[in-house]
Amino acid sequence: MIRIFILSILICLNSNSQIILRGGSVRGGIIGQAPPPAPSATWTLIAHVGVQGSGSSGIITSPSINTVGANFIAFVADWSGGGPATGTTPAFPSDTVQASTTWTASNPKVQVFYVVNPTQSASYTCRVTVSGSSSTPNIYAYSFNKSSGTPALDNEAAGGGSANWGNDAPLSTGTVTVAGTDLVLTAAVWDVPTTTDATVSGGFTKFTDGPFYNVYGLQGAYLLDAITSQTPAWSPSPTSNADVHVIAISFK
Amino acid sequence: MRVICGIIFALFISFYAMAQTVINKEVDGTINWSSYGTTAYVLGGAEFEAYFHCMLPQFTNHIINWGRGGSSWDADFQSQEEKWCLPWWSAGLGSNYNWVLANDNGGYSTTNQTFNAGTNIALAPAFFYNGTAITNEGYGSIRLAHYFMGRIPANTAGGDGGSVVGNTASIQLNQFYNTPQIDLWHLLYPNGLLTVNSDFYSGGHPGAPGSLGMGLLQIIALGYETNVSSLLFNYATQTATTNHCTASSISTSGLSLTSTIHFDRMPPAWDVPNGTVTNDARNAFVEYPALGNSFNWIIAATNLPSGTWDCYIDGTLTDSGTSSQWALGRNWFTNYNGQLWSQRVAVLDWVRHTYGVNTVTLENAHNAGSTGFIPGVGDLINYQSIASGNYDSSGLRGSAYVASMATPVSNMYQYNQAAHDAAQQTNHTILFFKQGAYSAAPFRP
Repeated sequence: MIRIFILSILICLNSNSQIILRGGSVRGGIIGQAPPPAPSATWTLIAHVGVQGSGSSGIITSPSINTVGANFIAFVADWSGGGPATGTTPAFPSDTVQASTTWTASNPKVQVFYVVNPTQSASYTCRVTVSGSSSTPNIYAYSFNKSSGTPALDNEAAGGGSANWGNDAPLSTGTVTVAGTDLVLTAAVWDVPTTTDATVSGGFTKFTDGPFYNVYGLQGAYLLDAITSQTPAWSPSPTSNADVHVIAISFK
Repeated sequence: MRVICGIIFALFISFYAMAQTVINKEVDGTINWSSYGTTAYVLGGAEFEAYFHCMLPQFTNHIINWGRGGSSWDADFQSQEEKWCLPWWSAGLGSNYNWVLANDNGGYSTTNQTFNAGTNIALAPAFFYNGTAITNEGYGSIRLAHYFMGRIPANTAGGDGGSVVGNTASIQLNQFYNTPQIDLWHLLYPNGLLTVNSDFYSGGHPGAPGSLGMGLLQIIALGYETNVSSLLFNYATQTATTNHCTASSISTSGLSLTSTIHFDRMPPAWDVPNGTVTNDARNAFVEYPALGNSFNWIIAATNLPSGTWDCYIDGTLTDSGTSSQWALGRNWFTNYNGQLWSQRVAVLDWVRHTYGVNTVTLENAHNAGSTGFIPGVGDLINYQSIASGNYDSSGLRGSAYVASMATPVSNMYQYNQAAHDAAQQTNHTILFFKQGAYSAAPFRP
């Protein structure tokens, strides 16, 4: 009886044995066994909206965007002249809006605003107000959910150059590093509002609401669950020679 | 003196650095100089096209003329755009440009008439007029930008005769489509170009000087690069400062300086009488002297011993100037001597071969029953003839029509390839030689 008990314990221990691999974990499992489940996504896109500005009031409010299930919302705007720009959330003014510092030095200007743990609502709105601006911004708003931990700014980068119909050489934002599994947003603004789009390198997904062209052309893109540093590069093709500024910002 | 020359050359370099539209990929385009750029007047339009082959020799650029004698913009839209342009645009691998110059056909007397005609042309590639209606031919994804190029002064007192409103409408189209504003009328008229009756052939067609002005001023107004290259030798140090060119094996011996040079590119040519060619565009630079410095192809040499120095390219006397003049720099844009000019002319000739015209008379070199300058290979005359057969007679449209034009397009590409090949840059030997000096070989020209 005692022998049977000891043998049972040995069998149980054997079936729970694991192989220790040096140098970290390996995906794909062991031959003969089912692979382990893929890691669940950290960042998930919940909703997105966008609208092209009109005129020169310097104020733009996004259409309603759903933040139910989201713990992070970012909105991107561009403008001409003036500044600084202020981001607010009119429907829920007590939410705290933070701003990136990326490109606001000279025209064309572009900036990212974001809210951590926004109020849960199907009617969330985002607004950008630019003091002394000579244009009404175009705006995109995208809500996301981060599955664990509190979203926070990681780092930013900005770059620029010129582009035209015959010259769409990629313009790099510079590199943004990531800390674990990041959401990376990037955007390009060009000061000739032609109805041509811009392409972006890497695995980024372009915003599907635009591009928008009030005064300037603006396009954006995002990358979920970036685990390596990112250096997006944009290639707009405006029909006139255009100044282009590009930005990237990562959230951890 | 060295400081002054350095400052002057620095100014050249600064000018060089001024923002211009740098094109960094293949240009695929269509030029519409209806009335002004067709048979017998293949002048400025051809020079405009030659610019792209000469300045972008690293690419094989595919450019075709879709202008038609006596045609208005409405007629171009209704009868030529799908027929002549769609096969070309759909084959293009780069950025398709459509440069469209307003003209005196159609009796347009208001800005609205020209503006509306322009917006019809700009419906492409999403829509074309297929002979009966404006339709989507399935090519909306073609990369295409329309550039409306203004309208030239008329051969009348004051230069108006309805051309000003056409020019204004073209500028409105530039604003509407956010393209560079081409105020061609005002670029041409006040400065003396196209203000003299002798500048026109019959029917209001500009002569060689005015036509050259039309082509160059359009390039300038578009913002395309006009700083071709700069090359500054220092005789004292046997060094060179270069931009868009290289200089190697620099040496001096006696009163000479020699080097192997290699340009990246060159400006286009125009007609200069040479015993065979009779058209003469040089008066453009007399009527409008500033045009002579509208492009910069600068050759300079500092610290040359005082005196007059000849400059030879590959053994051919190409320019002469005093040491002071060389220190300031010589702009070879308007230099029509030697091998460099011959190469520029060769490119222009290939553009004219593309059109199927005689390079001297500018009249059609053959009819549609025979092929062009390249034996057995159809040129624009054949292209347009086959297009008429397939589009008008056979009634093909859309993809079926495009497929039917594959061979004519391919044939035209051979002419573009020839222009590209003619524009390729090679090493040259440059020799500065002080007049009256003696030097032993190999420095003696």
